[in-house]
Amino acid sequence: MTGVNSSKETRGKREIFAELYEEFLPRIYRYIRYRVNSEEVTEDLTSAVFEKALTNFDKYSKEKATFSTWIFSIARNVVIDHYRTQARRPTLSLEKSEIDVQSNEPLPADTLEKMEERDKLRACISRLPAEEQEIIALKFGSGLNNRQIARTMGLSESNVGTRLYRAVRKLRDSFHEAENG
Amino acid sequence: MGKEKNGEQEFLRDIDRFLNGEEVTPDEETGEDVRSAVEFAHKLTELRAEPSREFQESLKSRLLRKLTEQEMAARERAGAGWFSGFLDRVVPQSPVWRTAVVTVAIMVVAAGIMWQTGLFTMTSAPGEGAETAGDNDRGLVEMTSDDTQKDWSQNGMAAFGEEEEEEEEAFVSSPSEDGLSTLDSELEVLMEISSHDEITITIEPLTTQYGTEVTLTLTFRNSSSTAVTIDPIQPEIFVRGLDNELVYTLPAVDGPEELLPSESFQMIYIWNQQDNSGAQVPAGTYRFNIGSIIITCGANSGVIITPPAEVVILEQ
Repeated sequence: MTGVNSSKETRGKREIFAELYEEFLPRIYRYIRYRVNSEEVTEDLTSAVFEKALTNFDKYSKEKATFSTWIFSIARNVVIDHYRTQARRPTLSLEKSEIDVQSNEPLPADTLEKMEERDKLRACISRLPAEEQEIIALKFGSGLNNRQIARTMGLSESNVGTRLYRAVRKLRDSFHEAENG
Repeated sequence: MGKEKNGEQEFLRDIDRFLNGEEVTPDEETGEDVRSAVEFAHKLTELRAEPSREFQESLKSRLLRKLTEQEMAARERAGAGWFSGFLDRVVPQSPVWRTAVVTVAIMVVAAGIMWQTGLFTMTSAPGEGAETAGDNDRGLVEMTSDDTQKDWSQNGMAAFGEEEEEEEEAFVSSPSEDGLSTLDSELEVLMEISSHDEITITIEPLTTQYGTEVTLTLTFRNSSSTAVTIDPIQPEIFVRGLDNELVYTLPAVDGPEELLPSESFQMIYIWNQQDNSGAQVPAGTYRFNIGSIIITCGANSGVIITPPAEVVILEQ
């Protein structure tokens, strides 16, 4: 990528960024939604990712990494920064946010059950080590394959597979425990 | 250990298949541990949430504004670079000469300002020049004095509302002393397009019966003498209630990418009075807007915000 000096370059940058935005916004959003427990925070962090990507877009080089690897690295860092900031100032738990937001409206029993289940699931994910949370979010949220996850996280592909299998089984067990307990 | 590895391979193969949308039926030989892990992985995908249309649009607008600001900053830097290069070439390197040249330049500028403000002649109206420059400072978005646009600016649509001031600043052109002379022709074209509402939404009729279709016409008209490009070329129209809540998004229709001088293009949208869940909306007033459209003319580009159109749906 070069600077934005001529109209052709300017138009090119606009078009390229707009296309990438359409393609990656839902994937980045879903990745972050798996990592944080609030929709509002997800929107804030997703905005931060794309603003950083736009600011540094001229520095991005496709020879060094695919755009997917590049933007997911930004997203990972944004989430890490968010948790660092959170650690410095105590906040209320948002684990039940999905239900709390709509608690004034009567909800059908099965919807409520589903929401409770999702809350429990999010709570279980949040108790996993950060690296396993990331693998789960990248795999099931963003739909990356193991090779893309490996590149983004700097791991080997087989290592990603092993950790993913372990993380899912661990989650399953803790979820069943929470259900029964 | 081998069994564990096989289980892992089986699990990874199955989840990749179902993430690709394929049906996965576990083999009879599949162990219970792997089977339940695959089932649980299905449950994990249920956590997927999609960003709301409103969030997508507002973030896109913010990013486009930021991109335009970056472009303008790049242009300013390029301009500054040209000026310092010019200075190096024209003015001798000696400090004495440089001081003399700068002093003369300052005196000329000061004299110009004094003459412009009427201090020399005391006859020209000071307000005139200032007003012209002020108008120019308002940039592309607010170039028009049209009442509809002002109304809309006051109400503010969700995607732009609070950040409108910021947006105005983003499109301030470099004002000159007389307010007009340094505007290049491309920028004039963009301002002309903005000031004459060359992108309009019209609705026929403005009052409609409950349950009938509403026809909207989106018109792009380039009355300038220069070709312009339009982005997005498939604009969506957002339908909102008076409380600004997004009711429905009319699907994008193919539009023109470029409009030659004097060319115009119309796109027809039909709204069947339904909301995003497919239910009939209640009677009342609804607004339609297309968010921001970027017009590029040569090296210049600007965001044009079109005033919304309204329709009143009568009681049943």
